[in-house]
Amino acid sequence: MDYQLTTTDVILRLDDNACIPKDESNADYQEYLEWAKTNTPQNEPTPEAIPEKTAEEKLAQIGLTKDELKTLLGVAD
Amino acid sequence: MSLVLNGTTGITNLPSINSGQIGGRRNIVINGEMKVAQRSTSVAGLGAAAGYFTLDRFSIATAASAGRFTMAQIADGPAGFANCLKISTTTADTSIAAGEYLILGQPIEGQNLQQLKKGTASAEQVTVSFYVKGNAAALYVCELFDVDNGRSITQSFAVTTAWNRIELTFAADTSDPLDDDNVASLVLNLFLHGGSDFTGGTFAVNTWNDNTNANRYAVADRTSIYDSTDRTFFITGIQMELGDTATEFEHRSFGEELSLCQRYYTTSYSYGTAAGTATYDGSVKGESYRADRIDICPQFKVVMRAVPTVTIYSPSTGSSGNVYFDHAVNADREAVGSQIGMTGFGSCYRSAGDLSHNGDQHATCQYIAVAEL
Repeated sequence: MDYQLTTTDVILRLDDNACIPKDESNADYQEYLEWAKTNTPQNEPTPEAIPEKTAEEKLAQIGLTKDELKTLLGVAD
Repeated sequence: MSLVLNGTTGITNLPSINSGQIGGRRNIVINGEMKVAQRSTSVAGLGAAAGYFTLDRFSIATAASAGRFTMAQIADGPAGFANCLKISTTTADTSIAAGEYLILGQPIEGQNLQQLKKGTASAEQVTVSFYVKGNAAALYVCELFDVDNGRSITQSFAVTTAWNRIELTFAADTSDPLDDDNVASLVLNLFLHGGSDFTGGTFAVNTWNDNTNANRYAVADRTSIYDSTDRTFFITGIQMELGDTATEFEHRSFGEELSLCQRYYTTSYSYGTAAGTATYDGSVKGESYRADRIDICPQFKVVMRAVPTVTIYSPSTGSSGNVYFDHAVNADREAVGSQIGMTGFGSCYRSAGDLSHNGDQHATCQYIAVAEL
């Protein structure tokens, strides 16, 4: 059995990817607390950096192509 | 003295039907008719670990044994019962170490047991009844274990090759009340195997005592369910009720029983579909407007016993710990449930892996939520 802290309010049980809330009435959390008396959970992973969207991606997000935008703005090639 | 029905004075000469509840909901046990099996109808190779595996609300407690068994819901039972729980030994263990045990049990919340009036001068007797059979004659032990106070009471019961109803009335306990809360206060246990740590003492018949492990399975001529790979144990119609009389089993509809079970285990999958199956049926959908957050916010079918442990699955691959992004990405993404409450969970967060989808995704997942005792 191994556990991992997360960036959220749950603890991840790595054997089955179960998300355990920090609730005293939860049997899995009780089991985790027992485990943690003699073990240390893995640290939460560092999320990968989120890349800035390109102009094309921003356009695609709203369903426009570059040509359509040019037409809308009356901009010639 | 004859029973008299009189239009003026009512029923006379009827000293007692049952000191417990006569009508309405009587059975404290959930799923005693073995109708509901949300997780699976059959699991083989059990015995190494404790937990809930097949029929809802029935737990396996085990330690140390090399014995293994299959636990299954099967279509068999006495007249009026369509299903039963069957345990079939698949690996025998006749070299029994001291700490071994195997217990089939149902833990019960304290707030559902206050009518026992345990720990008061007016404490009630409790009657446990069930139907059993096996491959051969056997002797096991039924126990009420008071978790709150570390007390127990035991009686043995015999199994034959034919269905028989066992009726065991347990003494009232005027000592030590049960907590009025949502955690386990009493466990209805069926001891099926035990080593000397549980058999080395003196068996006390129907007497509440502070628990001594060595006494719990110390009945003479007890059976070990692991004594042979021929060994089977069938049980259904488990009822626990107030009073000294085993009344007729209280049949409930499947829907009622399922709702009672969903307080402890619920799932987005269709009934009969195992967790981790790749299917969109019943899946919950949401949107992801941020790279790290997915707004999937399912509500559970009933309010759960406690804030549950949640496992999410990709409906596309069945992979645990993943949601499926079906717009542009078209792939699983790792995620964890978050903001979990007794009525649902508020979102999923992507705390690991590739966050480069830039948000704006449709997301889908399946889930199970577990708040077992």
